[in-house]
This record gives sequence, C-alpha cells and structure tokens, in this order.
Amino acid sequence: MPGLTQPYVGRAEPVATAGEERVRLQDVCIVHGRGDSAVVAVEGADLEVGAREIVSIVGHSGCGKSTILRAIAGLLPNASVQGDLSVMGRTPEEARKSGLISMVFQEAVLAPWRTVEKNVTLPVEVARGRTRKPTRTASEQLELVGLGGYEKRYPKQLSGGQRQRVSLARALMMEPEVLLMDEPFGALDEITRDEMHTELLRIWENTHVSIVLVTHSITEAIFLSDRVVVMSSYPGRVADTIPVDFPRPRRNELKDSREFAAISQRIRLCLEKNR
Amino acid sequence: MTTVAAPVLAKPPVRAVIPPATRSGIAVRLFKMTRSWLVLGLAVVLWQVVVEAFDIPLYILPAPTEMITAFVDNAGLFVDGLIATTVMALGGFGVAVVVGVALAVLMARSALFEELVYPFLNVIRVMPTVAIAPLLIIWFGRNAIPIIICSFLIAVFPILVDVAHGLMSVDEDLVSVMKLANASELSILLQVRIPNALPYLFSSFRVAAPGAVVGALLGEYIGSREGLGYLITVYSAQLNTAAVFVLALLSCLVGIVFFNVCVWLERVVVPWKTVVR
Repeated sequence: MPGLTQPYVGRAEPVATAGEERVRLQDVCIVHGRGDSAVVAVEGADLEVGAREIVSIVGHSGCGKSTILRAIAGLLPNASVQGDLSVMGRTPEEARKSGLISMVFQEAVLAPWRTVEKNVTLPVEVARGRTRKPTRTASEQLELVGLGGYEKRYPKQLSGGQRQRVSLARALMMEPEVLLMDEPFGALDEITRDEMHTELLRIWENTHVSIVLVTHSITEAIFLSDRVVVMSSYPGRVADTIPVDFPRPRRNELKDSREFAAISQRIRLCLEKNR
Repeated sequence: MTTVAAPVLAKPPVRAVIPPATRSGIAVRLFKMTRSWLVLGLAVVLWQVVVEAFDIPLYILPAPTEMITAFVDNAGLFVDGLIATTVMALGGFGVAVVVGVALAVLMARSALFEELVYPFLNVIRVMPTVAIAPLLIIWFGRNAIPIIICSFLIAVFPILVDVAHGLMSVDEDLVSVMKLANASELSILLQVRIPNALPYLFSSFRVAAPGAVVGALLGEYIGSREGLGYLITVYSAQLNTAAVFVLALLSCLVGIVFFNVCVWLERVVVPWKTVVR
C-alpha cells in the first residue's frame, strides 16, 4: 500500500485496532423517519477503510453520501442506522467517546469570537482530558497545516482556504484515527482547491489518520484516494468501487495524465449508468 | 547586412502612478467635524426667531430662551427627576436582561417550554403596557415596583426574541464538531450557543434600552410622585409648556445616553463582529 512506509508523527500510546480496519460498513441501511413519511437514504452499503487509507465517496446529490459520513461519526439517531457499522471495532458512539473520529465540513465552521489558536484548541478544551491528551500543541498543529504565525488572528481575517486549513488543524488536534470530510473543498475556488489537494496529502503523510471523503469532484476523488466508491441514488447503494493505484506522493500534474483520465471516464460512466 | 528581423524589444514595464495624499486645511476639517452641531444650532436660532417674529404665546410654543429659563428656575427638581427616571429605567432594563436571557435559554433548549409558555408570553407582549400600568398601581401601590415593571415589560421582549434567535442560529456543523469532541449539551450552550447569541443580545439592547426609558416614563406618568414622567403630568396640568418641553428633552437625553452606552458596550464586548481585515 503506498504511503505506509511514510514516517508517522507518533501518538503517545497507539490505539489497539481490530485488524487493519478503521471503518467497516456491512449491509448498512439508513432510514429517516418512520411510517408513511419514512425515507430510505441508504440501502445495503458496504465499505471498508484500512489504516492510513483514503477512500472517497462520489455520487449524485441526494445519494446519501453525507448521511453515511454522519452515520460513521455517530451523529445520527441509533434507530435510523441498521446493519453492521463499526469504527476501530467499536460502535460509532463508543469511537466518538474515545475521540477517534473527527470531521471537516464544506464550511470551516470556526467560532468567529475565538482566535485561530483558540479555535484549534476547542476540542481539547471540551474534552478536558476525558479522551486523550494531544501530543502536538496548537502552534505545531497550525505549523503542520501551513499557518504558522497565524495563532492570534481571527477567522474573519483569513481567506477561505486558510479558514479551511484551520478547520483541518482543529480536526487533527485530538489525533483521530478516522477523519471524515464532507465536501471539504467545495466552497473554494479551483486554484485554491488544487493547492489544498496537495496540502491535504502532505498533511496526511505526516499523520496516521484514515480519511473518508465525500465529494462532488471526480478529479478530487481520484487524486486523493486509494479507492473511489461510486454510489447510485434512491436509495443510495454502492454501485462500484474503483481502485486508484497511482504512487504517492502525488503531484497536481497527475490530473492531466492519460491514466488519470481513464479512471475519470470509468467513474463518469458508472455515475451515468446509476442515475 | 541588416535584413535580419528587428529584435523584438521588451516592452518597458509600466509603472502605476500613485496619486499623492490630499490633506485639507484645519478649518475645513473643523467644519466637517462640527457641521451637524451647526445645523442643530441653526435650527434653534430659527425657532427663536420664528417664535419672536410671530409672537407665539408661551403656552403654545416656548422659545429656546424661555426653555432655558424654565430649566434654570427648576434645575434641582428637574435633575432629581432625571436621576429618579434613570434609576427606574436601569432597574427595569436590568431585570429585563436577566429574565429575557433566562427565558431565551429555556425557549431555545426546551421545545416543551416553547410550546407551552411562548403563546402566553406573546399575549403579554401584544398587550399594551398603558393598559396594564393602572392595574400594576392598584396591585403594588404608588411606588417603584409598578414603574420598574412597566420599564421591564417594554424592554424584555426584544431581548427574549433576539437572544433566543441567537441561541438557535448556531451553525449545525459547529454543533457536530462539538459533539464529535464529546461536548455535553451544557458545554455546547456555554461555549458555542451563548457566545453566538452575544451579538444578538447587544443588538437587542438598541431597541430594549430606549424602550426601558419609555416604560419608566410611562409608569411615572400614570402613578408616581417623582421622575420626569410625573413632572410632565404636573407641568402640563399647569400649562407650563416651557417646562414640559424641557422635561421632554431631558427624557430624550436619558434615552440617547442609554442607547449610546449600549452601542459602545457592543463594540467592546463583541469585537469579533467588528474585526476589520
């Protein structure tokens, strides 16, 4: 697996894993509501994410890809999730309580009344040592995401790309095993997005985190991932899983290569077939 | 031979011209700073001239000079009234902040509370304070309590509504971030919802603070033996229009001071709303 030979920036004590699987979904169905107003968002979804893997989920709007992320994060009511869903061999709720999961959203959702540094340390403040102690300080974390020296700024003083970097630093602060990203670069312009792609990979190389990424951009999915999961809609099902074997580290030129275009075409065809 | 094509000359780089800073003279700047006061002064002078030119009777429209006389003659009494009204308005406003924020937190955090209590609050809200004030005096007598309650009633609803809105308009994704960090509901309230509601609280003050002054005046007007509202009833009964004008202006003054203190507080306490790039 490419990337496995990269050095970890270690955590104090490694978390015991059930095999190499960080996230495992088997026959997962997600139903919102009950009775006549019930909506089946996801039906029979299977997904496995290994250690330090990056897996993307692409699909039409409303195919339930964000819902899957929220289910993995344990943010959905228990009653609405059926089937086997585990994170590090635990239920999402247990995994969340152990601080194993973080999430990044389309918007940076920073607290405007807190400085950049205070935003990054928010999860630490909230956890109050109940989960685990971070090994990196906020400054080191900001250094990692390329925002060294921005500690005392306020979110309003940053650009969209910089805010998303802060959001990433905050998500990595508790050193999660699984990072869930819900269209994290969707609100950025294309030039910034390209830059953030290589940045995300660089940051990921320096951590031990597995990433599940939901995106609308096929290019983004291929460039970042080890595997791309294509979903069909109504109800959401996994239509195909496409492996992406480009060596890492990957550079932006890769996006213009023939092999890249071939995978892109395969995904596009799959999406068209599964409207 | 010179048949070789002429070399393409690099275009010399174009430099933008920076226009020099302009600086107006001290007289112009002084004028710009004071011109709103000049307009006010002119209006006062015009008032004086009109009253004298048309010989308007004192009890209809007093001239500014007559108002000054009225103030000087009763300065002690008027200042006492001013202080009394300010204290009542401050009391009503203070109670409104405490009760308004508490009710807003209950409303934002409990659907049941909102469903069961909010309709009653809305009834009280639309009930004119003028109608309740005589009742309050029957119940509590001619003292500070009915006045503070009148002031409270006018000030509390803008605070309640805005703060509840602020508590509920938190980005759900930020709440998710907190939940993923294992935040309790209390911690989400303290660290996300309340800071998020602070700018709403201060913007509600812009309505609630002058409202508290109006409420206090109303309470005094209907049943009190001190304060600007009471003095207005006394002097209008005597047809002492000049004194009534002065008292109305003093009431404005209290309202303006309340408003501006709140605007200043807003800038100090919630600076993230005014952080500049």
